[in-house]
Amino acid sequence: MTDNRFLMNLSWELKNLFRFPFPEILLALFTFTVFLPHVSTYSADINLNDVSSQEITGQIAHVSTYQGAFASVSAYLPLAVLGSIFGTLAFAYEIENGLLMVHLSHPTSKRAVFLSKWLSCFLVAFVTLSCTLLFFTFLYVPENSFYLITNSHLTLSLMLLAAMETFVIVSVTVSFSIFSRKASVSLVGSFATLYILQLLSQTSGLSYLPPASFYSQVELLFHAGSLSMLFNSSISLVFAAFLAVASYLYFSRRLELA
Amino acid sequence: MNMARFWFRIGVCTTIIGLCIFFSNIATQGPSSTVGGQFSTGPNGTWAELYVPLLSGSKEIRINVPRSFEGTLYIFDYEGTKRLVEDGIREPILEENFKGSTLVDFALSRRGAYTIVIESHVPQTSQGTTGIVQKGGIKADMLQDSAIVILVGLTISGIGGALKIIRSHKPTHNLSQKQACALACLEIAVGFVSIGSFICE
Repeated sequence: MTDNRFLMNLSWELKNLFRFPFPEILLALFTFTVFLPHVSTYSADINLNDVSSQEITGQIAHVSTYQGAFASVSAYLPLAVLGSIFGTLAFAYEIENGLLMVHLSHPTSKRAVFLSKWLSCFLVAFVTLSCTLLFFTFLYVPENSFYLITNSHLTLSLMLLAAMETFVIVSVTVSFSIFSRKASVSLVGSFATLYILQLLSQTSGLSYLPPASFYSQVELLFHAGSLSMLFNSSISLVFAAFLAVASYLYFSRRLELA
Repeated sequence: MNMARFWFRIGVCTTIIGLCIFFSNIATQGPSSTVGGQFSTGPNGTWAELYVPLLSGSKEIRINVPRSFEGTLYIFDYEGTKRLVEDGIREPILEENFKGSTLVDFALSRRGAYTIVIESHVPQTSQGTTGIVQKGGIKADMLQDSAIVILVGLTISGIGGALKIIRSHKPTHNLSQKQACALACLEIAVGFVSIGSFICE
């Protein structure tokens, strides 16, 4: 019954967040930022007697995906803005207006409600970001598309990166939304937090803060990274996981609805 | 969500992606950049470098070598590189003999992976540098690709819209609903293909 209820909640939340024009706006913002020309031509010496065409195709595909992964970091600000809106709409707005009480008056658990709302926020951002990155990668060197389809590990790495970035943003915005309980505070506060993190990572050189830490994730996924890169990329993920667990526990055990 | 609405939304999303690619290309126009580095060839040897991607538009390649150096510059596109590596067949898009430092202008119609090969005609080891200057400006191939994406998006949303209209009306002809759907989709596809071919021409 609870599982069934969870699926019903999830489909309801997905319908809410995927309604026109949320995904369209996300796609437009992501595409515009990701496709702004990043002129970085990769060059490598090749030994014509000692290389196969398969190796060259693989190298080109690797460069295309790496550039796509690198460009994904420029989608940080749109992701932060839309993540704040989704987090606020799914949690703080419903808590403030008493809609969550209506949800919970059905035979369902707080856990199911939390998980369905969190997953829907994650999915709407993840699906649109992945779509944009895949478009970018496939259009980067068009002759290469068939190789990318048949060797799916590159595209899966790209999607994993999109998932990690979305996870960090959604965890921060959702926890802000749950702990603040007020739509206005959640909307402004969570975006301000993410924006300050970006400023700090850029100006103070704190490379373990997002979005600078996302570059470390790109390097780790596509090249052999160092220990410092592992540290930089995992700090934001661990913190995001902590926030997700804390907000889950707070929502399911401590949250009191007036 | 029913299928007609689903395809309509997919079409709208694809159109939006195409429009954003179009506008992002127009808005920034791409700054100029230079790529390249050092190279070394053995006696009568060859040196090859793969570039991913070289953008479309006019370019110049600067080759700085000693005055006594003589050689040939080849530029291969993706297919040419594959043929060169697999069968050893040389089908370059550009071939130019040079002596000493030189500057070669060329233009690419499409972005993609290109290989620059320098073949030495001197019997000693030589060193030099290459630099490819990519000039900024609107990339025509990217605009063309975005137009194709927009066209595909409009076609899909058109099919979705047609499905929606057909399902909401009772048939006034002898065709079954599936046949009517197929006919409408075919008509829309033919319409878009004709528009597309007209634009391409």
